[in-house]
This record gives sequence, C-alpha cells and structure tokens, in this order.
Amino acid sequence: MLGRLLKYDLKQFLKFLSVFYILGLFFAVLTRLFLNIDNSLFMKIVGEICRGAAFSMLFSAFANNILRLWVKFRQSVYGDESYLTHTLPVKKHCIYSSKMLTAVITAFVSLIVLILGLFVIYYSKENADALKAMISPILNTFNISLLTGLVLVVFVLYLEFINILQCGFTGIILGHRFNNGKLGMSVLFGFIIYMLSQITIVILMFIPAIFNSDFMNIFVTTKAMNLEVIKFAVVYSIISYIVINIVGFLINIKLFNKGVNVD
Amino acid sequence: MNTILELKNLNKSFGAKKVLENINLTIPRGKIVGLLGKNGTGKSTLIKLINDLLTPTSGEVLINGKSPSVESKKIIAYLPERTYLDKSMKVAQVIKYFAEFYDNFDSQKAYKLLEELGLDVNQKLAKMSKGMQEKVQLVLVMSRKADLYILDEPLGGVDPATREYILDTILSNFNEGASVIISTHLINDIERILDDVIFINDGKIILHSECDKLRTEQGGSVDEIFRRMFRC
Repeated sequence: MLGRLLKYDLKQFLKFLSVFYILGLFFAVLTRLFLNIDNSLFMKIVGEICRGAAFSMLFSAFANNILRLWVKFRQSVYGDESYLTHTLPVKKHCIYSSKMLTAVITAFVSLIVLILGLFVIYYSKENADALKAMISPILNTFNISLLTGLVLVVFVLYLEFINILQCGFTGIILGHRFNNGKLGMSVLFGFIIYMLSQITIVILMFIPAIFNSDFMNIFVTTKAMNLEVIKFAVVYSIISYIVINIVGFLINIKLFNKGVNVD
Repeated sequence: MNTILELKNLNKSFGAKKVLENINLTIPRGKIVGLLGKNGTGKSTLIKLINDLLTPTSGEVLINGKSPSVESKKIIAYLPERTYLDKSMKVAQVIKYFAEFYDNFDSQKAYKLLEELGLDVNQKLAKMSKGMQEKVQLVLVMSRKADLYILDEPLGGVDPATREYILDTILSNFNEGASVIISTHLINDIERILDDVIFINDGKIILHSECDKLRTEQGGSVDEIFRRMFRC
C-alpha cells in the first residue's frame, strides 16, 4: 500500500514541479546559447534576461516544493482531503512514510535539476579550474576529487533541507493537537523543533570534543583548525544529520499513530 | 457476528467543550438507520469517530468487533459531507484510484451509475459544480461492496429532483446484509427508506427506535415527531 500511496503523491508533486524544471532548464540552455553566440550588447541583454528567468525557475522549484509539501501535508492529513486519506485501508505509518518519501525524492530531484541548470549555464574548463583551485586545499586534505567534494557539500545541505522539511511536518502534527490557533501553533512548534534539532546537532558534535582536545578547539577558539579535525567534523556532522532525521521520522510516526483530529 | 457497529461509553471533547457524552449504541447488520438531529448536535463528530477521523476522549468504537483499523476501513464506505477528492483529477482517474485501494470497489458499477447520472468520466473534478462532485462521491461510495455505509448529509447539496434518484440509488445498490447510517436533517425526504432512527441532541442519544414502532407509539411521521421534540 505504501507503494500505491507514494505513486500518487509523487505523481501529484512531479506534475507540478515539472513545469519549473522544464522552464528552468529551457532558460538555462538559452542563457548558454545567447551568452556564447557573440559578444554583442543585444545578445548579452537577452542572455542575462534568460539567466534571471532560469535562476528564478530553478530556485522556485526548490522553494515552492518546501511550501507545497507542507501545505499539501496539512491538506491531506487535516484538511478536506483527509476524509479520503484516513479512510483508505492503509496503516497510519504508511501515510506518513509516503509523505516523507515524497519530500525526500522531490527535494533530491529538485536539487539535481538545480545543479544541472547551473552546470549548463556556467560550465567551462576555465570555471572548473577556478573552482578546483579555490577548494583544492580541502580536496587535498580529504584526498578526494572535485566531484566527490562537491557531492559531500551538497549532501550536507540536502540533509539539512530534509531536516527543515521534517521539522515542519512535526510542527503541523503538534499544532493540530490544539483546538484553536492551529496554524500559529504549527509554525511555533515547527520553529521550536527546528531549534531543538540544531541544539541536538551541536550537542552531538560536542561529545567527541570532550575526548579530543583538537576537536574541542572548534568550540573554544577562532584559530584556524587542523585539516584532519575539519575532515572529522564533516563526516561526523553527516552522521549526526542522518541520525537526527531518522529520530525525527520515528517520532513523527509515533505521533501519527496516536491518531488524528481532522478539521 | 450480527452486530456491525458498537459504541461503548463514547465521549469526545474539544478542550473544555463536551461534544459527545457517554454514547452507547449497537447497530445490527441489514438495517438502514437515520441519525437525526439539529445542526451542531454531534452527528458529524460521531461519524468522524467511527471513521477514525477523530480520536475518542474516552470509550470504544468497535466495527465488526474490532477497533478502527485497516480491516475496519476495508468494510466501511463513508460519504463525508464535504468534497474531499483531489480536484486536479478526472473522474476516470478517481475511479482507478478507488479500484487500486479498495478490493471491494466495482469499477463497472461506478461507470454505470455515472452514466445514469449524466456525468462525464473525462471531466476534471475542478470543472464540476459542488453538486456534481457530491454525486461523484456518492457513486464512489455506493460502488463498494461494503458492510457498513455511512452517509453524512447525502442530500445536502442536491436539488430536490435528484434526491429521489439518490435515495433509490442507495436503496438498490447497498450490499445485501450491510447496514446504512444516514445522517441528515432532511427527515421528510429519507423517512420512507429508514428501518431505525436515532435522535441525537446536545451530544447525547435521546432516542433509538424502530421507525414503525415510533410512529405507532407517538403518532405521526418521524418528521413530525422530530419537529415536536426539537421545537425551538
């Protein structure tokens, strides 16, 4: 049943987002074409307009996705559509899992499209070399390629993005336990949960610092860090984010299983 | 098991406000029951509790002897009072959706009923009037071979000419051995199809009786008795 729910949830979201994806990539290609045909002022103006449109579409896909995921979650779990959602013969945890997986997948697709769009607009050998030169000290420390380095950075941002989305879902679930001011309470709870998740990340990061004086320097000094320490911090933060997201998911499933009170 | 629905000491409060108080009710199989009461007396809350859309403050809801669960949702066909379908979908897509999720959904029957009601299966729900959407929802519910049909204000947004058709549709399409609970305040329209009647007021069941017995004992139609009891 999870597969069937996910199929419909994904279809609904990707249908909406595909408009942004197609337009974003279309303008990205136009930008590339217009800025490379010749150096005339007219082509530059048209190219810059296309670049603006491409940025607007690619980042809108990302921002709209977050807002739409929260609004749709509220609609289908507590709004009019909840009358169908909660009367389908599916387990409650499947309903939440489908919403969360939709968030994870659509965020990932939006991210890939965004990267693809930026690649189309900006990729050239000179730009790649400039980027490589800028971050080569870090890449050398990690002993990784430019691509792996970028993937690691994007992955940390992606995990943070998923954490924000999930905190929003938790806020909506907790807010709807109140009879009045559900929206206000949802926003307040979402913010509090997000802050708590960030504090937890800091606490998780602090634990190894107790046992390692070099790592403790992250918290007690502003001096440049040993690159080995930074390497450990990046890997440890990725693990911490994954743990936080899994714990958040399990808490929300538990809250969801306690039952709902639809509007 | 002859009992399809049992409510035991059921209470529901929203904050300090008690909406349902100590509801005890047993609905046997094969009955059409009218859940009647004025607006805001707790009819819809009771129905939502049966459908797992609300969590009871205390007490128990038992469907076929079990608490609301995946199994109970398989055997309950529920028509809410509001339009709840994704409006970006076409009618045919909604039928496919129901066929995928409900094993007891009969797509052929749904297409037949839609045709009789003159509804276009290729039309988007967003392009339909509220009345047409409600008809689609009724068709979806009545195309299931359920054990318990719960219809919340099925005649609410429908023109008087179509009401007769809808009542006939309910009568001729509900599964044999199944029960139907109809919540409404349009008593005159549905009285002819009811076996039992429940009057609810201020969150309490104040009367539960067979319709014929009630008419004989109190004199007059159910509609008249209701009006006498709830006169403002």
